[in-house]
Amino acid sequence: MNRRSHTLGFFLTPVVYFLLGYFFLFLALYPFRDAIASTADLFFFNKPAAAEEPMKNIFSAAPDVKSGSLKLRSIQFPTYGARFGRISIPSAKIGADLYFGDGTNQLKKGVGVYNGSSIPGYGQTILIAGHNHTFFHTLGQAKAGDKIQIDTNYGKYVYQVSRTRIKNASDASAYNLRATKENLILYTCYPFNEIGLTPERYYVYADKVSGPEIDKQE
Amino acid sequence: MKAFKRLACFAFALLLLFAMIPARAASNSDAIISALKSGVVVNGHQVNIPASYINQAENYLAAHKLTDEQVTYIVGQINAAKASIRKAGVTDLHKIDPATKQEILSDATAAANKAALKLTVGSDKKVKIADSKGAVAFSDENPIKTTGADINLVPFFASLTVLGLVAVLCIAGIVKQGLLKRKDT
Repeated sequence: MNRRSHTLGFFLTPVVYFLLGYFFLFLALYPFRDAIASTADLFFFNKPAAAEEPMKNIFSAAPDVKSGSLKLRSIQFPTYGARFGRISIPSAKIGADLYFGDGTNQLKKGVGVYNGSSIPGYGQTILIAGHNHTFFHTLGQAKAGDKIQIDTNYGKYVYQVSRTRIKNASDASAYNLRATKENLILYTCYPFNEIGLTPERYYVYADKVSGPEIDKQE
Repeated sequence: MKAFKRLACFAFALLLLFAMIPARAASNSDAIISALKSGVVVNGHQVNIPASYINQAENYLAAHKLTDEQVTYIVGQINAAKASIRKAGVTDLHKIDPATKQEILSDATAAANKAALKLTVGSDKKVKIADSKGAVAFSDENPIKTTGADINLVPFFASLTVLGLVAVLCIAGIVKQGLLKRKDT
């Protein structure tokens, strides 16, 4: 009987310890499941996020339109998820595809314009997000006076950095979506080297220098 | 409750949004957006729609066109929603009673369906309107996104506590075993 229980214990003990260890690990890591999954997805997988449309591409090269006015009807207005341009900040060594929409899919492939803001040429605020560990990792190198180039499927735009700020992600004073003067806001999680706890955002504000205006009346 | 209030606020904005959808001309769109921006007046008080909602409407309308019939139907829904708001007599959309909120949400859902869109409320209480392919027409998410793998502090410290407890238990076990062995010798 004693020998039998010893044999049983020989097999059961490691199993129980294994299960207990797994249970505690699961308990400890459970709150991080989303962060772990999103990070793993970002680095290792290439599957599209659920319930998001496949990416469209309406940009190949920007037409050489740098000023003047464009009729709204004459341009192909990007739909959500479409790649419609490219952004570059030479001083910060940034170059990324520009998408309309800032969902998981878009930010995985490039940087994204918030669809509750506007597109270049619309005369309003353009709010662009990018990940701090990929396309906007060096956003901190952009300083006041630096140029930002945005090529779209309908024209070429240049903006000049006016200032940078670090603000909390929930601070709505960081942007003004009712602005009637065209302005560009780029942001990413801050600090730049942190993947996890990033309640702050690094903002780069820029004013329009050149580029065609979109005439909404037409 | 707070989420439901936001939901009602959004639903109202949505109705305003789709009521202004142009059938053909872009100039109509401009007039519609202007009307959207004007919000609604309740008992002499101006109730404004969030700028992000208006911009989403403007962007969607710039890329999509609806038929006159769709527009007419949606305008009917928005008028019904406006009437509901005025009847409730509240100037703060967060203070609308649950019954009125439900009315507005129903009107918004019907309006979205008419435009071949689907309104869904996620488990996080966020409202999203998308087409059959999943293309987003509207979302009431925070304009500022998580641009890193974000986590929040509460579960972080909860996890630290659990890990700390495990560590304490392990050390206690080791110490106890060590003491027992000494006793044996």
